[in-house]
Amino acid sequence: MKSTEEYNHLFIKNKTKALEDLLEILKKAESLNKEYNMFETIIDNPEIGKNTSFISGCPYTLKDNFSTKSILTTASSDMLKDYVPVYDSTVYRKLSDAGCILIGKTAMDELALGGTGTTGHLGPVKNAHNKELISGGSSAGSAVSVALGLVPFSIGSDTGDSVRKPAALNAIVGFKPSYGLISRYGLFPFATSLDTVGVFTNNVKDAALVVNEIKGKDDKDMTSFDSSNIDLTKDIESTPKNKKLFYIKELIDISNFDDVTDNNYLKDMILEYIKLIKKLKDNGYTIEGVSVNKNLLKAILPAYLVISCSEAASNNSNLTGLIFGPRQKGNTYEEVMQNTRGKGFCSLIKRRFIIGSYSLEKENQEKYFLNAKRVRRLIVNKMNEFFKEYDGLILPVGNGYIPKINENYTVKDNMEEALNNHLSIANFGGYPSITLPFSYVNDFPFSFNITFNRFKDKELLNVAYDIEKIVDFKRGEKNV
Amino acid sequence: MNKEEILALADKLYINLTAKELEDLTSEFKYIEENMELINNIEGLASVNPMHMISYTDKVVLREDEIREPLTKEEVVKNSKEVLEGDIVVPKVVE
Repeated sequence: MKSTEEYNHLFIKNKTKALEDLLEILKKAESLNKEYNMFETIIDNPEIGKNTSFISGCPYTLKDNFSTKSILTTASSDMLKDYVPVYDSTVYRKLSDAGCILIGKTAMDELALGGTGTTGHLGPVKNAHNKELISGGSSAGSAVSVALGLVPFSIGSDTGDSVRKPAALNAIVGFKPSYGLISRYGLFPFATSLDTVGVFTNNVKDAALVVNEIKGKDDKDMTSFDSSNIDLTKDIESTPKNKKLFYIKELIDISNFDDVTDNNYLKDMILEYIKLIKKLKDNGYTIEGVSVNKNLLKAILPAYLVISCSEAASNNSNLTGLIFGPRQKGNTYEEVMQNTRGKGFCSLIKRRFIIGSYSLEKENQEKYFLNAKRVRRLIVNKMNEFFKEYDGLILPVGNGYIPKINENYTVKDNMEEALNNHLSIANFGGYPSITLPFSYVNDFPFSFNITFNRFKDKELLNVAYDIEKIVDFKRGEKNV
Repeated sequence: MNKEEILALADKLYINLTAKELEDLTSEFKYIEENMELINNIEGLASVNPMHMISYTDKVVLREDEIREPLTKEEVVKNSKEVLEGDIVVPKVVE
């Protein structure tokens, strides 16, 4: 797989060859899409930019919830199946200015509200490692397009773990920067207080190079901040000073999970994680366990669901079919809306909107919506305490099992749910957070996650670069 | 939440539900309520200040006024299902 640097060098030195290669990539995109279903749109005649940056000439893919002027943008929803934006998202504009070449808009969970890659209107996206498995989501097609080696990077969005989880399931790097580092102008909102732009790559340095190009304050997103004094790539290869990490003991103690007698996946995954920790300690890292109240950990998923569904129900209330979209028939405008929304949204979306709306009802706000936000505060306060003593949190991603596409898989144990969903801690606090592959366990990719305090993106990438070298993961090889 | 309450909520959101979706939601609400109990049982929760957003600022963030070309009429109606003489046709709202 070529790095962004290799694409860039070829683009500068031999443009003719670079353009020939691009045609091959487009052909390959068509054929891989038939197998993996990762695209909403493949661009017929990609715009070739100028050599203006370190990533000029790099082909890339973009999740289909970023506005691209005159290019179909569906968010994998029937409600937007014919929607062609009349403006560009800031991220797309910046990548075009940086001379990158958009080759396709990627399939996703509908409106970014799922985590499996199976709820988009064109059907499930298949896992790059094993086509029978889910790809993870919601930025499903983005992850798969990078994992298959089609492009060196892809842009996704991460509200709970929608970049880092599919990156883990497809054994690539997924980086969610600090909230506000990258403008969200033109990204279809899901849960505004959590939404973050993220990037998929095959290595940490590429993640730094890409985010360096798209970060920055934007007058069109009031949550974005000025980062002009931060160069994420500078000194990334130096030996990190920040080498004191922590993990949450309760999430990797097998005795905390109900009925693990038949759950070898969980046991094997935890053993593998312990190997990783040992390897890092052998290489000079200080890694210690800290304790967090189990009730607080169990509250992560319900708090996330309540907050994100509430914000989503509000943010998507404009999808009525009245002004735009595939309007259905009805005798009154209410009937038109009911029929349009009833037909246009998948079951998951409808259920999530109803849960969100229920939490926002005046009589439920205190018990549901505000208490979920109180839990968010408690979790963030706890993390901020740990960040005073440690540089970052290191934990495994998920419970060691990846479901098959049509498998009706549910986790019954609340602690296992916490293990599956702890990545949303980084969205609660706006922390930078990166997922890296380590090995294969039971023939599933096994990845881990590192999360630093907000604004410590540069320090996080420096540590991730160092750990990536130590781990030395080889795709397709079982280096256990 | 019983089925009638869920249907009433769906009506408020202008969403039609299938029988299966209604069934799924009924069990999902049971799960949510069990889990909310986990939240509500956390000691001292009532005194915690809810976290609405990541960072707060007392600065008023207003863009400078800037004269820009508006969207063309063609762009405005581009995504509309029904257009008549350049206007978007919407269902009758006022009886």
